[in-house]
Amino acid sequence: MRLSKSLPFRNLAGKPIRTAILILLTALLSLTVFGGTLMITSLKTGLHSLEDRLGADIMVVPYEATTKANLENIVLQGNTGYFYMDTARLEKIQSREGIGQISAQFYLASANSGCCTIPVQIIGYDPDTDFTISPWIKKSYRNTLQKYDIVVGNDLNAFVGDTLKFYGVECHVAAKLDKTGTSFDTTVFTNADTIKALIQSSLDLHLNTFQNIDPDKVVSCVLINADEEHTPEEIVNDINLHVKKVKAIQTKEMISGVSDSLAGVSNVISILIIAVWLLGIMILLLAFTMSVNERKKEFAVLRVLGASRKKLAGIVMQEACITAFSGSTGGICIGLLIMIPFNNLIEEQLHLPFLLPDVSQLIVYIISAVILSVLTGMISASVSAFRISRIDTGLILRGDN
Amino acid sequence: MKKTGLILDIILFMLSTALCFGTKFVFHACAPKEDGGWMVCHWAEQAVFGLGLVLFFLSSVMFAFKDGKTKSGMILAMEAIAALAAILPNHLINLCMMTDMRCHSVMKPAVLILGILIMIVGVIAIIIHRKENDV
Repeated sequence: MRLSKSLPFRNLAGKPIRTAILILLTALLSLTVFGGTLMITSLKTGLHSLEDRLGADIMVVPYEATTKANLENIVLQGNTGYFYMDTARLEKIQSREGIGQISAQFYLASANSGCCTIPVQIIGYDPDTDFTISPWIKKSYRNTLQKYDIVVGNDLNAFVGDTLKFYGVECHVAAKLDKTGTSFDTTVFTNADTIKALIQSSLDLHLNTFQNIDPDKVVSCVLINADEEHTPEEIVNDINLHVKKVKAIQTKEMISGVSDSLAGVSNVISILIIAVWLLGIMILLLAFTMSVNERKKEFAVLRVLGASRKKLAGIVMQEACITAFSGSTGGICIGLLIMIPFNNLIEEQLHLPFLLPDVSQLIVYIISAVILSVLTGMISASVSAFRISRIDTGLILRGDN
Repeated sequence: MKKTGLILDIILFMLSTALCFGTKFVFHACAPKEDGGWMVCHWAEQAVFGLGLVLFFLSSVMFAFKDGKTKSGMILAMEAIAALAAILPNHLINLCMMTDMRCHSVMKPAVLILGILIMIVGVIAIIIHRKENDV
């Protein structure tokens, strides 16, 4: 029998307002659980992505970077900025004990990015020693970057083969990175030779706030991984004590603020999901009870016509199943329409790393949300279904209910 | 059936109004530069506004017609315009450099969603109006 001709479907179609309210309720339930779960997962994925991208135990920067420039905003929030220290300090740091891996990075902010007023952060790395950016870039670009080759973050509206001009220097986009959900998505990466040429060009154009520097004799920060015999804490203390005018920071400490904010947001969303869910279950329970109560005579007539108790309960359960399925599908569609196209806006508003899960994980969440919503609808209806299967037909038809 | 058709026409009118004036006043592109000049996304906004005006006009005029076939023809035109509006930001006219800028994070998804909704509601409306004619 076609669904549209079945009795539960006709019952629902016969009472469009009641059906619409039930569908709206289940849509709200599935939207809350699906949207909330997707939000929490995206925030957690974003944090893991940020941890992976930082990729080093320790970051050493010039002391002024922690006072004048807001270092955490540059590294974590995607604000642009730059600072430099002599390569002599890099050599001093290299000579300290306990250093497993060490590599220097060079920062520069573009004056503008061709079309827009917003400057872009440019990070240069040394391909010979780098251990943080190269493994990540290799996923998108296997060749070695040549001079004036750049790799752009996923949120930059530039594609392989494009040419971007920074401080009058034309750079060729060699690759576009996968999305990370972090500030690195709006960053341009290049090798040390290219960034030194860009720094020189910015100095020549008097667009660099540092006027008396030699690009070949400065670095912006030093990234370090501790060897197996030393802990990052020991190395941080050692550098801060023995190397002047620098500040060593554990990257773990830098992202602790982000982790705390993320935990706060996740807790609020979890509480909201539970509250809406409990409220939804109660309202659904009430709605099904009221709906069945006002239709007692209708069910009594069906019973007189020969419908079994099981059949009556089945009708109520099928009605609940149809409304819950329609509502949950609608709720999930709304959730997808909000979360996917507006994910950049959500990331911007939360100021937290935000990375949507991949398609396979998304499908799992969709299926789970539908199953959970349908089960909730059916559990809420089961009480009414049980009661209707126990009705005393005689009493109800006489009007003594 | 006539009532359903009218409801769908009203929804189409509301969506077209939202696309037209929303693009200009609510989910508009990036603000002008400090020197008063416009970024490239402004021209995408202007183009979507122009298409939105046509959608607004067609969806308003539709109420003056009673014939289902005429309405279906007008909705068919709206379908093509809505599809064009949906793909215009960043596909036909470039938006700004960074996708976390307002034109990418607000205008583009809003126009895309409204365009798709107009197309979906339009298809349903065409089916309903054709059935009206059969009756």
